[in-house]
Amino acid sequence: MTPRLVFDVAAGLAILFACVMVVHRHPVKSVLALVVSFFALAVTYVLLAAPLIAAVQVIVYAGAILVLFLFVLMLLNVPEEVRQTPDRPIHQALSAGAIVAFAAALLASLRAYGATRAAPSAELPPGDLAPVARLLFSDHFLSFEALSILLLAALVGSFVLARREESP
Amino acid sequence: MKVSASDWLLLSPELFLTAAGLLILSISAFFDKAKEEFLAFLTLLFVGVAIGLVAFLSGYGGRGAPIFAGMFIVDNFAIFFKLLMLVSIALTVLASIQFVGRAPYPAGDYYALLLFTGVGMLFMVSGNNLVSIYVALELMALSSYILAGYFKLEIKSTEAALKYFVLGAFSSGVLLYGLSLVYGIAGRMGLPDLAKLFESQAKSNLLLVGILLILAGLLFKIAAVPFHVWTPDVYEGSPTPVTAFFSVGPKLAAYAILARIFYVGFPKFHADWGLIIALVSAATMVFGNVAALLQTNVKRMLAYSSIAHAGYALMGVLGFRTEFGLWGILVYLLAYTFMNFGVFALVVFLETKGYAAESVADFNGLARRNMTAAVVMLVFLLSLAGIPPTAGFIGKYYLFTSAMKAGYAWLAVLAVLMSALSLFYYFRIAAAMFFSEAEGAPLKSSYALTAAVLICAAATVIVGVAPQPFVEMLRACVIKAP
Repeated sequence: MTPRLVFDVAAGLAILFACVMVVHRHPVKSVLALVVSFFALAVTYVLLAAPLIAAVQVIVYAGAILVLFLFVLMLLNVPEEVRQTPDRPIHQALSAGAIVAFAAALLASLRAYGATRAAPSAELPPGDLAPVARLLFSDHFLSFEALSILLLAALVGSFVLARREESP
Repeated sequence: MKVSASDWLLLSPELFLTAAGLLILSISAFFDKAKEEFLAFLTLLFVGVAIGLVAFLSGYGGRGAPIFAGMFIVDNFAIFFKLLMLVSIALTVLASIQFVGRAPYPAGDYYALLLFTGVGMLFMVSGNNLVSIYVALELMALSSYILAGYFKLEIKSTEAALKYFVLGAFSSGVLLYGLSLVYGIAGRMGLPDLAKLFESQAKSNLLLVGILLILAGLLFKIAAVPFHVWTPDVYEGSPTPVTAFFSVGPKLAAYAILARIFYVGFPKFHADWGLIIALVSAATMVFGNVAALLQTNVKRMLAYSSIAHAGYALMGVLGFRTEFGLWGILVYLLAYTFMNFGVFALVVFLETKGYAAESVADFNGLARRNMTAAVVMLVFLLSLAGIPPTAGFIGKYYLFTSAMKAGYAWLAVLAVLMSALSLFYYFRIAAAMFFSEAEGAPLKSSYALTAAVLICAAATVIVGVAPQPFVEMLRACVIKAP
């Protein structure tokens, strides 16, 4: 199998299972579909010479975050979604048409762009952890610190929203 | 990367606000009995110190150059926005004092989150790189989702938070996709670097798609049609002081980065995004004003009114080809911040008096029950409609002129027509206040809320009557043409 074929299969699977995730009515099965989608994405990252991102994708997203999702879903025992409003066929058809049109336009402009030039020179040598770390803690350290405040705000927020009020 | 002491000084307002937020959080965690008024006063004090720090930086010689490896820039433009944002946070604290205190929710977290939102906004306007701008935007957005849902036992507040979060996350995704396309093409993320690169490079459709997606993500934040659907529900459901804040604070930040990204980063593509902005601006003005006309719920009406105002402001964005457009939008935002906050602050006032401020009828006979409130409300309404001599007139004057200068005379004509239309729904409130029968005792406002409203009213009138010094000052805040 050529890398190109592997890439196409992996990318197709990623898109397919992302659609399954959106459409499926059972939350747990949606999460499982998302796991497959994430693994397929990780394969494409490997083929794009970004093994570090692929590893992060598997460990953090597929491993940690989705497992957390599953825990929450199972703890809350979320039932299968029951659609209350009737499906709106015109809205759905229009949205689907818009998505396909946008995807086609994007694909066309990507191909046109790819045909005119070589890939831009990568800032990082592929698959090396040290340069990423160096950039993260030098040039990007300000954003890094802002992210830590963001996580704190998220923590405070989840505490605020989940806490039981003693005197309602 | 070298960081000097002067760089840290330029970062001091953000650092100080972060520390202040952490302190408020710790106080409310360790002292259960800390009074809400005390926490509010402390927050106000910290915001005041931050205003002082920014004011100090406005005279500091080291400003203007990118620092922290080009991620951060403190120029006059950023300083103007930071001052206005900090003032809007201070006004929000004043408007919140009795409102949040009455509820069974801990006030410390509320003020801490407000300060974290402020840190995000301050970071945003100083962002000089796509990554730092995006991270700051997320910090602001995440904290504001929680503020929207702060009254979590009220179903409408929860609904507001959920809608704001889902749609906000989606728009962030769109924005991020656009940023990734631009980065994929350019291989760099600093705004001046991008402009320099594009100067010499032929444009591709892919780049235009990326720019379009970035534009869509930002138009969501300023609630322009067709990305406005979240606004009425969020404004109606959020705690009203938070609504007042949303209608000015995060919008200021969004306009600031819209200006930074498109004025500094993509000036070469003005012809490509100009027409889209013109169409969006026209649609936003028409839709916002017509929908406001059809509303009977005051909060929703004011939400649509602020959508309409986003349409006017986009005319300034259109003028980004010249410095005048940017100047115009600064003048307008100065006026908009005070008049729009003022209107919502008066809705807060009615709500603290037990009126839901759901319908226009709640304003009936306000003139007889609290003359000051009615007169001040009238000033804000006149200013929103753009009647001289109020600040709103000056702001609109600059925006309309900038649309004319950019060659979109039809848009300016449409804007004048729509401003005339807006008089109808603004005057519905005015008529209710002055000409309807009053019942019940006079209404007294709390000192804090009175202070907030009077500050807004004073600013609206002073900028309207004597605009010259402010307008000249703002001219110095325009980013120098790259």
